[in-house]
Amino acid sequence: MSDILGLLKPFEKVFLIGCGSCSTVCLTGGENQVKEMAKVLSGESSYKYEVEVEKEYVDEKGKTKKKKELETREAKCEDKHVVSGTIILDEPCDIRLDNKELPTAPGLADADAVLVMSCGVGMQTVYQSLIKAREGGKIPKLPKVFVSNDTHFIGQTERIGVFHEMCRGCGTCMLNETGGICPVVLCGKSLMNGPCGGMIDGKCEVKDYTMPCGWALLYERLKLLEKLEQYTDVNNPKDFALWYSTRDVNNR
Amino acid sequence: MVKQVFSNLKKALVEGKFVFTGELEPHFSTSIDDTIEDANAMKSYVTAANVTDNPASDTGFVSNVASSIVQKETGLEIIWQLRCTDKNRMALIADLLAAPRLGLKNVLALTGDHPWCSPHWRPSKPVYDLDSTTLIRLVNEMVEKHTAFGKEYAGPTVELNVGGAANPNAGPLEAELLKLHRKAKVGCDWFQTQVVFDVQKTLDFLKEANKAGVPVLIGLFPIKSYEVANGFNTMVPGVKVPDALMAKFKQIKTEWKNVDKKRMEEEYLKLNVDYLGPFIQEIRDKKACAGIHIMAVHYPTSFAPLFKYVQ
Repeated sequence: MSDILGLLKPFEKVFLIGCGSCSTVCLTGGENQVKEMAKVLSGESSYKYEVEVEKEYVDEKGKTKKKKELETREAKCEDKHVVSGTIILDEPCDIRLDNKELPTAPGLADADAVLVMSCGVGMQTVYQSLIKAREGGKIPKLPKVFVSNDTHFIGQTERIGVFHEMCRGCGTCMLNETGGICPVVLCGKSLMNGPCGGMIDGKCEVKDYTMPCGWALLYERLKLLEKLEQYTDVNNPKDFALWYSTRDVNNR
Repeated sequence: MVKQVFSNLKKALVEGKFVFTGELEPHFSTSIDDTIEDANAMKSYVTAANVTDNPASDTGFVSNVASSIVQKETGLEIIWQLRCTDKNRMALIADLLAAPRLGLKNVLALTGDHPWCSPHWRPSKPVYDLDSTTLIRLVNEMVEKHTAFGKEYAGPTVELNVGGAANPNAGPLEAELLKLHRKAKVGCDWFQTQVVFDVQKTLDFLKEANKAGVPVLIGLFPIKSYEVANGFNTMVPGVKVPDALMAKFKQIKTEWKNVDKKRMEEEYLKLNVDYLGPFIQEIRDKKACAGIHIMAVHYPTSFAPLFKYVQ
């Protein structure tokens, strides 16, 4: 939150854009989060932030030691922003929708800055759309556009707010060979031929054995499907030429 | 297909000799003088010794250059460790192309620990373009076909025997064992294992691992002190120093630490010999595996007494 306030500091009038699909279920940019953000920016509500503090503690040998801990604190934004308007777009990542909805959205024309509370695709699409609108004379000035979220992954929804990364869009899907377990995502090293030496009790050396080993999951799945003989197949390395920036799809 | 023999290690394994290998670990340093010292201390006892490549993702003096220098200066045959964490296929091939000029005859192909394992280097970008299996396959392609990923290279052919790692502490163990069969398929010449302390667990592992048809060298670790033993139990998941052995380490520490440090070191050494000596003998007598990989890293004084016991 402090990062966002820092970015918005120079701008008085801010317009907020929410996302009616992914960011709504992620609880990061739905209607409620947009309302909350509006209150924080206008100084009506306080926001929470974490600071690293040094705390003293006594170890098992009775010695006083210091350790760093994160402490949650509350503060209010003192920048006196005016929220000129808000809109929840069904899918801010759909440029057709942005082109149609944004130029006439109440409050957008006045805005010095726009905060998009979606993923990175939504923010980029909104920015493209607003540049196009300005060039076409549909809006009087081009506001600065910011994104409120760090997008971590494309995920499977377990329930509202709880997600699992399942796909990294590698372009050469292996799921038909692996019984529906993706080693690119689920192996801590994205190995094509695992497990590595870091598989202990089905857990992965990455993240200190708190997350499952993808190749242990793959083993369990092939065992369940009675296709364990496939486990000794040698998989070729991935073709990283397909991962080059930037990727587009045209299936028309 | 009969694999070619390039190294003394491969030759000894083919001849069915019970082989001993050692381990050398270059530091985060511009000097490898101590590595050379350790190599000199162990060379009369082992067929070959590994030179590690950024072990546990703690970066150190580059392994192929260290391997070459140590081998030339000491006459000890080196098993050059090469891991996939830090290099893509281009960089791995570049290293392999240098092997003939550097005089290297063995390479141990490793996936490599994740940078996560070393807090200082945690933010580093891991590569894993290849993994241990595809690296073994690449080495054998360069040796047998004079190509790398289908592209012909110039100059003398790379002459390397190639090993892989195995982990008896892994779980589920069957997944690990299936992986050993996969590595066997691509022409792995030998396996060197992670550290083990439990004889019965080791024998059970070997019974299954030997089915892959690749000689296995079991990894043993002479423990320099109580603190090192404790470190294994608290920091290396899957590796457990048996309670009885742990108790003996503690007893030595309690008895001698504040009395006579030299005596304490002697007692630690004697304990290692008394524990690992019979361990090695039992495994050798039962012909359970092809040899022992002794990871007496920075503990060269343990070699002479240990080998006196088993020879």
